[in-house]
Amino acid sequence: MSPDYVLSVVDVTKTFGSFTALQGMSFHVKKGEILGLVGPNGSGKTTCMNVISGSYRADRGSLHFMGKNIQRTPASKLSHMGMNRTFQIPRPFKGLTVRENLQIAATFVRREAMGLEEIASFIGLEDSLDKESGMLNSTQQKLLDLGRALATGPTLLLVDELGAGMNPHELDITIERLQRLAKQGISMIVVEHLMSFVRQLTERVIVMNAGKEIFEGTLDDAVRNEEVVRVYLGGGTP
Amino acid sequence: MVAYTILSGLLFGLYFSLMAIGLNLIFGVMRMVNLAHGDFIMLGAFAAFFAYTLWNMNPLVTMLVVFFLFIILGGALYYLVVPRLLRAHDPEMLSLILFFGLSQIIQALAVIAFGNNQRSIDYTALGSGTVYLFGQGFEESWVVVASVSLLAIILVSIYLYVTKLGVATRAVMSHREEAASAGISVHRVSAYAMGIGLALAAIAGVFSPFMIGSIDPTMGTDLTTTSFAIIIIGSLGNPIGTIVGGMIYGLSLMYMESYQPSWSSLVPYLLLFIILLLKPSGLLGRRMRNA
Amino acid sequence: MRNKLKAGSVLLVTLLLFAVGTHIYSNENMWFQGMVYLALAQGINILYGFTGYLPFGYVGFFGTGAYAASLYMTDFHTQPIVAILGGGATALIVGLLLSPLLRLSGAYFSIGSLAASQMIYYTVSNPALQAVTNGPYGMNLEAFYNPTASYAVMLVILALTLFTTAYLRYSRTGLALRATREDAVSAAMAGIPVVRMRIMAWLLSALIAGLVGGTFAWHISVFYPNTVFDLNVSIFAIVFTLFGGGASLLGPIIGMFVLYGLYNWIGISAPQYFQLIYGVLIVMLVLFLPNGIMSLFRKKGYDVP
Repeated sequence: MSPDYVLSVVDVTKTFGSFTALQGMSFHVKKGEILGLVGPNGSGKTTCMNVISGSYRADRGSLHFMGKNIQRTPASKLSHMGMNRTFQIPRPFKGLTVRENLQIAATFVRREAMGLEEIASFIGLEDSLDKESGMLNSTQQKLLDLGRALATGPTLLLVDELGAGMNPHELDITIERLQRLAKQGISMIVVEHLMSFVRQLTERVIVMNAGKEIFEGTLDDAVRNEEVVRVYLGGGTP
Repeated sequence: MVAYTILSGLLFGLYFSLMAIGLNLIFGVMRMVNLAHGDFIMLGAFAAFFAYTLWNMNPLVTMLVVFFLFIILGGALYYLVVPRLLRAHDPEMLSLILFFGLSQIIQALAVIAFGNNQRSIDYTALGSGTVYLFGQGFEESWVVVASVSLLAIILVSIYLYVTKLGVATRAVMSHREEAASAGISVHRVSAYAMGIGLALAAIAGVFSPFMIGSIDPTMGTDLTTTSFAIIIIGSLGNPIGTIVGGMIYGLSLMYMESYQPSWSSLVPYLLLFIILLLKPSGLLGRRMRNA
Repeated sequence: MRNKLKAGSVLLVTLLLFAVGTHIYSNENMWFQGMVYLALAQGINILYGFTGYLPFGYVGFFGTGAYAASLYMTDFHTQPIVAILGGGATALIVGLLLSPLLRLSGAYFSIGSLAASQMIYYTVSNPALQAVTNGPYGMNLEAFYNPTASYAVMLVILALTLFTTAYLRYSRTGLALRATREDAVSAAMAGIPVVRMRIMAWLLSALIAGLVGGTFAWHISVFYPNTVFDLNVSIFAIVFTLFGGGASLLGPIIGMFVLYGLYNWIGISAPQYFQLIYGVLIVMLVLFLPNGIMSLFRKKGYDVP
């Protein structure tokens, strides 16, 4: 295993009862890289994120983060090791203020990270610090998820459909922000339906279908790949 | 002794299934635990008591009257509180607290109306003879109640598997969102489920003086936990699975009463506790759900 | 600093009231029970208000503490204060044994804890155990009876309980507990050891109920199993907390003074009318004010301690 892989996933399989959600997934993420994870609905992208971030345990295969085996590492431990994530459906602590949301993450994970004010302005919530986070709109809640992840000073960030529901202007800003994070050396896996978003962010994508990887390479090559096109014909074009 | 214990366990098992099935129906459709379930049983019991002592009404007749009354009551209760609850931040917890409040209200009103005394009905009201099953003699009332319970469970199954509304009810139970998008009126289905759930509790109450003993306004709390234990043992959210829970509960209770009487009051709580920790979806949970 | 001042003054006023209360109104028993319910309500608050786990069987810890403390006094002839500490420790151990209940969510936990409490009750009151617990005939501590000392001990326990709640209200630990209540998955991603935090809150609330139960037993000195395992003890403490509002110091205090006051006014002679009132109150709260009275003030922008 190469030491500059931040994350390596080898032959990971996850089943729920008789349903196989992930089948033999293998890939890796390099330092400072943004890897795109795309595929039609139900292809296993979010399951893949959940297995990596410790919400589910893989039935088979191995997961290494920063050279350490994380197959049995609970989510709370992973955040201390430098992995964090956002959620497709945002999950801020709704009854707590924006400030408290960020504070909690910064208190419990003692890693080098941006300061609270800096994060707040990075995600554009500097004027809402004392607002209850349940009052924010869905885009703001997603950004707060991102901010909370940043407060833990991550080396690897899993970004789950951050762009969905954003207007073009917000998307541009978000893309620019994520690129800035990558420049600071934070690796990312980006799950996204919006192809323009993925195209601008990533050099390399993995296309999934029915729990399996069917393509790996640039997005431009992916849209010329026969199997990818066939898979997407049912669920819209990339 | 063994044969008697097993057979009486089965007779009581049928009755306990009836007692708990309404709670399971409501849970299955609304994902809410009706903590006032036992109090509706209590109301049924007092209906039987007053109908019998005032007008000498046969409990089987009372049962029919009570059944229709409580369907209406349940439907009304549904529209009064549940839609509002479902819009809240945490419907599961809030509904638990709300039904707990309702349980307190019913108990308080019952004490005010009926007085805080133990009452009982002449057990011969459902027949005074002895019925022989496999050479063992049982009180006629037990056999009558067990038969009626069985009939009621069969009718519930027919409702759920044959009638249009019942099939819609099952659709809501297994996939609420999809059912709604397929054009099923979730509110209507749920209101009926609530009505039928309460009505089944109330008719179980009508028979409780013959199966459980004397009745009083605060008997509901224990019956709610017992019923919850039964549906947890059987299968949470699957009304027909209740019968398994009822049988297991009936048999264990009769076994304890025959051999370890002083510990028998521990049975429902012990069963509930163990099953909750080992398999919270119920013994038949997953298999039944996939079927 | 302002927070500390606010919480401190709430704490001080409450404790002073109980310290001098008997000189204002001489029904000592009423004041004592008030302290018991306030401490229990804060115990519920620590668990339910901060983590969202509502323990219907909370009284199980209270009864355990009462019985354990009594047995330490009668059978082992320990000092009452040592026996009370033993009662708290015993409740803590029972809490530790029951901690797998925390794996259950929402309604299952509530009902599971109720089942656990009833199991303890039916075991303690079982005639088969008469040699140990005196079965259904209860305990007699008349040899240790000392209303003044037990009142003072109760005041100390109440002070510690209020102090703990005030700490949780303003500390990062309390904030983290509330975060686990809001969203356990996010809490884990924020680095909070969710399970350990919940168990901590659970054990803390068990310890409080155990200490209170032991002191209660000492104070009334003669009791039966159904006195100290009475589900109404859980119910009262829960309703007081719900009424005032959880995750705050002041909420349960307000809840206790208003509702326990009401209880003493109309409830003792006609408990069913009081039961009716709080039943209606619960339903109304759930439908219209699910976060208790305090949330009204919070909405107006006041920072309630």
